[in-house]
Amino acid sequence: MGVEALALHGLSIRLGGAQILHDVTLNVPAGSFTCLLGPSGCGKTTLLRSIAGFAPPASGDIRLGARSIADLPPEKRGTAMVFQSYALWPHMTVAGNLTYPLKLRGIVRAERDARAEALLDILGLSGFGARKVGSLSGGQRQRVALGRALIIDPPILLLDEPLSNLDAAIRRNLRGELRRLQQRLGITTIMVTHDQEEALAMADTIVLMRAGRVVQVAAPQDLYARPADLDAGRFLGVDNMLAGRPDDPVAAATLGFRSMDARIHATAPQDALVRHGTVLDCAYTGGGYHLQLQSGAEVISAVSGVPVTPGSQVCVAVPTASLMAFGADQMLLPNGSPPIAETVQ
Amino acid sequence: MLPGLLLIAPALLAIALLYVVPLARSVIFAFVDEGGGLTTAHLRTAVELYGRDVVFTVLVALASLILISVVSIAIAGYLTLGATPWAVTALRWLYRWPLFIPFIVAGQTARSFLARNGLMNGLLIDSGLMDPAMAQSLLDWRGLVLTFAWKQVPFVTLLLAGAMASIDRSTIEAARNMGAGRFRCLIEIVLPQVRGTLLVGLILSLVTIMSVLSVPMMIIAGNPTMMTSMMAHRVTYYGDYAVANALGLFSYLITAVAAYAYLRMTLTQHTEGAR
Ligand SMILES: Nc1ncnc2c1ncn2[C@@H]1O[C@H](COP(=O)(O)OP(=O)(O)O)[C@@H](O)[C@H]1O
Ligand SMILES: [Mg+2]
Repeated sequence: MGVEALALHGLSIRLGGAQILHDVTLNVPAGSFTCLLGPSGCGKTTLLRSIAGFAPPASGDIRLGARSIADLPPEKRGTAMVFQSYALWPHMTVAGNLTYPLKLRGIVRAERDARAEALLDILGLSGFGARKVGSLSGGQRQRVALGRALIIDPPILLLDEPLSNLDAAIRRNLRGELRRLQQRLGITTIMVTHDQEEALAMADTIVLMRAGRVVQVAAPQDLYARPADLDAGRFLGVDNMLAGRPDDPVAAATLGFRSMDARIHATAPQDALVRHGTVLDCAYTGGGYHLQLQSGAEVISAVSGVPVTPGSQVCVAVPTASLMAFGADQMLLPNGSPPIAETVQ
Repeated sequence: MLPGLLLIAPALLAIALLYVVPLARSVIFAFVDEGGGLTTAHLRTAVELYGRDVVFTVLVALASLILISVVSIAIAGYLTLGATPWAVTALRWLYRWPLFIPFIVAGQTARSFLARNGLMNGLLIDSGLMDPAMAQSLLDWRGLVLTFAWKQVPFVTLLLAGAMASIDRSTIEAARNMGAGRFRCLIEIVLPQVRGTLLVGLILSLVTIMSVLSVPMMIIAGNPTMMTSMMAHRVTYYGDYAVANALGLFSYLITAVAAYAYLRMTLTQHTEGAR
């Protein structure tokens, strides 16, 4: 099967009497790497499961390439899913796990074994074919699960938090490895994650979800610079949200910025948001210092290259280009100066 | 040391008095003649008179176990993988009923159901599915197999459905995602993960089948019949405990083979788990 695009139209899902997904519409271009990003419980896994056929839609359509797959049972869909728990078959060996999908497709034994052997090489698991899956480490299991999904040459790959059960170091390695493998195979991939850093590092397109709805679909840089609303901003690490004032360089109900963009200045600079405040706390963070300032009723997080004594009065400034302007309805205002974002919904 | 010994003493004593002593006694008496000397005469008499019954018993037990496996796997599999919620719920309620019916009642019911002019043939003839001339009694080995299965299927299903419900559900979903239909999923993914439980259910069923007296007494009139029936006959009509004990020895042997298979399997599972 070739690489195919995926389209969701007005997909709604109810489980156990509760509406889990509300009217989700999404286009995933063929060959792209798309991340579903959102806090736990927002419906990412459910969305992935509905594509694979494990959560029947209450309404809406799912199309893979030209055909609708919404009414097909899971085994007829041809999607390949890697489960969060890996879901390896404990009664089979590593090679058995890899070849079972081929056996289901009626491929003869000799070819099955040859393909498993080749895949084990690609996955860096040569010689592990005869091992029981119970004897593998987390990272090795993850690779076997990925190999099992890829061996059928699927039109689309679905990954449910594939890296979240691994140690930080292995995770960073596998992140790059997974991305390179995806690019080499050119396979349409949808990956679920609740880790914004992971999504930003890996995706072509990020789908930001909240409470069963798609909030924003954007490239990583655009999402990072221009989150669609206050909540999206907070989720993406915009940790300062200040009420706008008439003399601010950008007119907005709320101005958002990240603490790393807020710096201490001796005199107020031009073309910047400026606030004055008292230092509450100064903590060393490795490369520099992290400050908490009391400015009127608001607390501002900022950074500084040098330590500042708590209690001292300082001037903090944020370049206009780093500001995000939100309206009274909490939505991002369209006239910002950062890169033009394609904001959906 | 001593507190531990005191704690297990009651259990040990109960096993010794209620299980080991009678077992040893009957094994010994199968080989002792009136004078107190050793003999294999009882064993030879048992084989001579009841060899056919021993073979019959083994075959009936095997046939019953096969039927029990097939039906329990089908029911437990449907309870685990079934896609029609109301049918799954209905089946969950229905399948346990025979558990609460005593063997003697089951035997009696089977007798009136399976006889030549019993309820089953009556229904088949009335509904036009069977020619009255074709009607035959199933009160032979088939009646035994059907009754044993009917009585033991709920028990094995109960064990099996519990085990199936506790396997990692995502292993089933992964198989379906990779293209396995429900049936292949049941046979190739679910069943291998619960085969230990199935084996336990079958071994316990075998022991039950080997020890139930009422069902063969109710269902089979002539020869050959189950060993339990013959042992009871030997004791009640002839007061011949020695030959009855010799027959009992065959029962022990058959169940011992099953127990060995079971122990060997759990042992390999333990060593695998430890690795
Ligand atoms: N089978 C189910 N029945 C009822 N509610 C469910 C079921 N599966 C998930 N949910 C609910 O749906 C919501 C979304 O779950 P999930 O898709 O797993 O979130 P995520 O993967 O984003 O953490 C959660 O509130 C969860 O409790
Ligand atoms: Mg999830």
